[in-house]
Amino acid sequence: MGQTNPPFMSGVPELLLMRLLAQRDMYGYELVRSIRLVTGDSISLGEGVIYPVLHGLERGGALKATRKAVDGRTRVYYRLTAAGKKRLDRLQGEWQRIQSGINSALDPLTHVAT
Amino acid sequence: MSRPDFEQMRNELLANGVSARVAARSVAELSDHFDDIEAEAMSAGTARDKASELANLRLGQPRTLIAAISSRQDLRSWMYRFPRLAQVVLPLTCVLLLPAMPVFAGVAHLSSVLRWLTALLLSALITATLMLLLQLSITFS
Repeated sequence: MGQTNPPFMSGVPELLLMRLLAQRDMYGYELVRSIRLVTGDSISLGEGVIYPVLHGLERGGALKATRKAVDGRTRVYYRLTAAGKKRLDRLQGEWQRIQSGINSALDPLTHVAT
Repeated sequence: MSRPDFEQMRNELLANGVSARVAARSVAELSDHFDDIEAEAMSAGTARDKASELANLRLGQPRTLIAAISSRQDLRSWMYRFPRLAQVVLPLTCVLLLPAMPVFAGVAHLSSVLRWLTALLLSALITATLMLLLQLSITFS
């Protein structure tokens, strides 16, 4: 959690949250733990900031929230909907396109060739 | 470091135009999240005050969280998202509901209205009985 994230991180939490929820239903705290785990702590989020993103995705129909009682506590579990899966596919495609463009721009061989 | 004032956070979200449902749920989830961080740290052997400090740090400053939620147009109440519509719909609703207000008030105070009606009927019955007796005494005198 050391570094702060650069400004071009906009949209990344949304992508990560949907990618994780494509695997299984999770609640907020579980999602944050999973983000830290899958990104090897390289992406730091003010943990509370995921909730507006989750609520926004839910309003947009990408997620569905359900209350479940677990160990005597009520948790709000989020599930990716069919519309959410489509949105995730589109976002992943866009992200890979941008990533390959940036990789190609950062590759020193590209500059030698031009 | 103590627990954030989640109730105050909810009030600020409402004052910023966040929908009541979103404000209530955000605060409940943030509060649970705080408890989870604190419990995890304490189960790893951290002292309670240190665990609270860690939970505050990881959850984020209340001001930042309020700003993150309030800045999202899609999480605001419909009155803030569609102010022009609200300016038309709300006064119109008030005008339409105005004639029904006595009915609503009656339903809200049903027991008082029933007591008042019973008293009215009883007094009418007593008056009618007295009038009848008077009439009978005049007739047969």
